[in-house]
Amino acid sequence: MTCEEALKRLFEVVDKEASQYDVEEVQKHLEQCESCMARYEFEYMFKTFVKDKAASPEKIDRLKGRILNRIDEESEGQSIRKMGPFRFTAVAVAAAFALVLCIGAAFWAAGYYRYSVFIHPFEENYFRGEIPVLAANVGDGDFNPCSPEIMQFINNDLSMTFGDVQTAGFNLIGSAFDTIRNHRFVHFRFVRGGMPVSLYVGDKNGVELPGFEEIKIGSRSVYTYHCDGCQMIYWYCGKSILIAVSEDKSLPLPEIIPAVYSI
Amino acid sequence: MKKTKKEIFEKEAMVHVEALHRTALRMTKNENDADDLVQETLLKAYRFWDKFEQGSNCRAWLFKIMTNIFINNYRAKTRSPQVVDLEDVDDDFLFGQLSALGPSDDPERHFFAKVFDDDVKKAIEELPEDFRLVVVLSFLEGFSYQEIADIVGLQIGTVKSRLHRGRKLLQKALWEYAVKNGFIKEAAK
Repeated sequence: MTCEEALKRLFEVVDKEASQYDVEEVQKHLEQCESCMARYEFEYMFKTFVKDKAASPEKIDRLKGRILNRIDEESEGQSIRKMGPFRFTAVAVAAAFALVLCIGAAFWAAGYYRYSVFIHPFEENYFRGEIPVLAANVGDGDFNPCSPEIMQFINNDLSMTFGDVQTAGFNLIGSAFDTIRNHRFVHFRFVRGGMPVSLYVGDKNGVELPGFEEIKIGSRSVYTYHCDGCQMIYWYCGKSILIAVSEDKSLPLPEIIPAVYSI
Repeated sequence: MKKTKKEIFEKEAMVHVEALHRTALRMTKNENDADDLVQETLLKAYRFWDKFEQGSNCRAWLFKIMTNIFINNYRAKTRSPQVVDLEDVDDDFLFGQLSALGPSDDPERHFFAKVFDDDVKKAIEELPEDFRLVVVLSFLEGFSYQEIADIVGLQIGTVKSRLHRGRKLLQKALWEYAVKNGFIKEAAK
């Protein structure tokens, strides 16, 4: 097979539409041709890249609840059925989301709203199960996944304790970015039923991460931490804890963030 | 005990809400319309559930319903003819541009790592609608050419050519974002 023939089949092969025979012939060619191999690898990577970037999970639990309610309305007159577990989950999620919005509204008034992200104040065992913890950006409604660096940090290095429940390596599937003074941050806010949340920041084994540094800003303490791909700070703010993570390690987070939040 | 219609529907159809919503967002470009489009799709699917052949491809069936609703109700009422000039865009446009940056610092990997999710979403949303639909169904949802042809109601050849052109447009747009955002310093020509 020539280069021309191999490249002619490029997209069909990448899209898994080529015949077994063509795939094998292309494979033989690629083993001998570095430049075609590079091109094929690139197009494979491009496809995965687009999917990863554009197919991030959206917050749809509320929508699911809404649809099921409409289905119920339409099927009115049928016998009343026991509420299935799925429905229950959807309703619980919707209720929790409403609660988040209420808290959000309160913080809007306080001027925190714009740059805050809530993690839903669910019950403790919510963090135990397989249900992913969702973060909702209440700033602009966007819902973007973290960068791989931050995901890695959250999944590998950060653990949190809610009451006595530890959530080491919990499955945070998303968070939100905001742009503050031309820098992109990912923010999380934790509140639980309006109660103070005790946040433990340490590694998976419950060992406090080395290198956490306490910085006094006025009468308030801010804790900073640097890891491979990013840096983070957290601080207590009323009944919640705010965390800011940035991929830019040179950024003076303790100076910028408190100013933004006027803590 | 025999499962009710709604229980079966939840198990078979509702699990696809997330995928439907993701495509709806890219197609309508706005959350409220996307929510409404998905809701309308599922309600219609529920009403026609008896017509759905159990065991066949539920996901493709739902996407077909959604695509029909989108085409009939959501897309811009007055569509100007889509003129897309791709004369100057080579098949290997993005690959060529990145390769030209030099082999030393792995520009491809750098590019893939740096471009923001938002930029990719925006680039998809800015594709002309005909291309956007097939790109989303192929790239995001992983449908085969034949499935896309069935969903959108096109010949398989048309799907292929739209996907090919859509892919080129997407690569060109992403390259332009990367240059604009300064992730890539365009090689001096």
